[in-house]
Amino acid sequence: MTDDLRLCLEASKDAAALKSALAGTDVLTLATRDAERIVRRLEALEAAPDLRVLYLGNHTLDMFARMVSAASFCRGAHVDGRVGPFDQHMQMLLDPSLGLADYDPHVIFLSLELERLLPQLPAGLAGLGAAAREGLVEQALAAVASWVETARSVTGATLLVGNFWRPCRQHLGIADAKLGHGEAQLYASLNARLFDAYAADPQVFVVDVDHALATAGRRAAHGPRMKLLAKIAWAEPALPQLADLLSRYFASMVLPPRKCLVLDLDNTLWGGVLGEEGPEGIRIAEGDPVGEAFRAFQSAIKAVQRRGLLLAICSKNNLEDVEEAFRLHTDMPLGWSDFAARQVNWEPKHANLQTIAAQLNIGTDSLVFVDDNPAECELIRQLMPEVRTVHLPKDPSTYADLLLDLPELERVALSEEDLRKTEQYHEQAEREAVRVAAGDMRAYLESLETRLTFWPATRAEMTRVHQLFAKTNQFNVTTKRYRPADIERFMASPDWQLEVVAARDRFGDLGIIGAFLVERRADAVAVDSVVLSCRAMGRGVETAIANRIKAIAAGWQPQGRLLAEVRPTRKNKPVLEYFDSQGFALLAATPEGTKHYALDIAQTTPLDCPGITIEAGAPSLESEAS
Amino acid sequence: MNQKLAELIADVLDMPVKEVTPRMVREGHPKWDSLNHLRLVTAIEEEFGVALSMDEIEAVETVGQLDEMIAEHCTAA
Repeated sequence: MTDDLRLCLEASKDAAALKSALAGTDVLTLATRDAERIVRRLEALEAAPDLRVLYLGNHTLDMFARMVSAASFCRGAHVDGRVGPFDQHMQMLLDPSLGLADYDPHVIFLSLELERLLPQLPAGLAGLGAAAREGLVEQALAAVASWVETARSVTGATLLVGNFWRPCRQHLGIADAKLGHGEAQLYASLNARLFDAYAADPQVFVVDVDHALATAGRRAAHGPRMKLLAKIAWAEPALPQLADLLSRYFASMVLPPRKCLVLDLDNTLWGGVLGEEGPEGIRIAEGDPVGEAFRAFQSAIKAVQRRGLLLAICSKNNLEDVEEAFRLHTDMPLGWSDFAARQVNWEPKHANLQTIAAQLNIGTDSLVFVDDNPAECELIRQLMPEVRTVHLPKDPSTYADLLLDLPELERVALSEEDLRKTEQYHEQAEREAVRVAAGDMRAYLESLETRLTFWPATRAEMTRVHQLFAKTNQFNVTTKRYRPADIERFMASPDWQLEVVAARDRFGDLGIIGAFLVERRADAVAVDSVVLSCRAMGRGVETAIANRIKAIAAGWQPQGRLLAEVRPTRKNKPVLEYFDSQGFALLAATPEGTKHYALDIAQTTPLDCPGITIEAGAPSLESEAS
Repeated sequence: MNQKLAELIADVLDMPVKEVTPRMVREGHPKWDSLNHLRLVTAIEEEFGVALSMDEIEAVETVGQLDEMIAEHCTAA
């Protein structure tokens, strides 16, 4: 490993070459010295990082930070790490001379070792009653809370807070479990309350360090000698597992998300070949170990669907056979309606992947393709390198773990919309059917009976708003990727108006489908961002949003100008003529292609939006949630 | 001195191997700081299959001492 790595590091002349050379490296096998080599090489190449991360804590985090940078880079995210002075996580926030503002991190990771945070803890716990134990929990939570609140007041960085990890050995041995308020319960209760405290907080993520250490092995993670010599709390053998966890966050924050999991059927979703064994012969039953392996895989796929990914089938089979198999095996974890797109035919798979992406209105670069056939996998790897291809090995007992381990399927948080995504795509298919039947566009739009609601975004909508800014590629006029802290700033400022728009129609509830951000300036109003989910494009919502923006502008600056701009990207073709179609005048275009527009607010009139009704106020669903 | 050790030191401290000499002193060395010292110890233990005590780790002042220490451990084993 090490010699190969050294050669590949030396051969890589820039960060992109290094990234492709390292792609696919198993981060769990990274040795500390390899990690160090990768990071040094990366630093020598002097490329701009995707993220700057500051590590703070009451134990030594230097080697860990290097390992995280190496692991993240193997996953395609270039993370620059800096480690703050030991046990000065509070000073780092409050003392400007320590350089927080100069570094300007996107993320701050905090990790506190409980034994050091509460010096009275280890041996004393034996003599403590339940009330005293509760006092310790409160004290630790208060320490985290005061750090978080201070951090919030001085930085917009996303805060990752490691939870508290149980040590390898318990001071009272097996009797601890019988005490009713022992060490085991102390950590469990502390971590449960820590997760609760920040579950709804868009800026703070509690990272399950305890789980990663347990997975690595508490014994392997325990190194008393280095702890005494250098306050290293996590021994080297545990670092890859911990770095795996953090790099999942960083890769999810930086890389464009994968949106659809495309699955083969035979020997992927079930055992056996449908065309040979017949619908009764495939192995998917409970009681059959092989069948249960495929059931476990299907359950894992179902969980991935709940993360907001769409599922699709891409299989060489006869459609009638497949439909029959799903009809016959209704007790499978996955049903026919779980799939937002289905390509069951004898066409080459790369053509089917194109069709699936087109049907779902997403790019082929957001597909993950899973197949047991090495030839099919090789075909897709060669013809569609942008697709993430996952080749399943022979043994189905490994499939569920393999899927749940994929970093490309991670989401840092889930919104209401994620949980209903598949349902929404089926409603979309019904709308399409009506559109085809109606023939006439205006008649179609009117038949949809779209009802829109606009309201200023609040914390209740934070996850969704952040997601819209982060994930929308097509209908996005400036493609500014705002962070939660930026979004909070816009919500709080009287000079900015950040509104969301939700839609319902006769087929169902589309949820929050778009957002826009406008700025009040001294003599003008400027449109900063307009984002609209691709599900809601092309039905007049675009015009309704522009009308709403014009109305806000008229309230703020009746005699001023409304300014707007479009910044072209590789993917936002649908917005290039947006402001032209809404009556704005083109002022200038820069050599990079950015187009500047203006409109006299006094002259604006709302444009016609056939079939759309605007309803007042936030929908009841959202007000219940807030 | 042991060539493998010289290469290891050069790698961990990120310096040319020809600059690694037995007389190289830890104190005041720009790259041989306390963290790199521990990195070095870990790498040595892995490479040579030895285990150094806390006292030994702290006592190291020069590359030459480290070289002798490893030789002692290897013959003892």
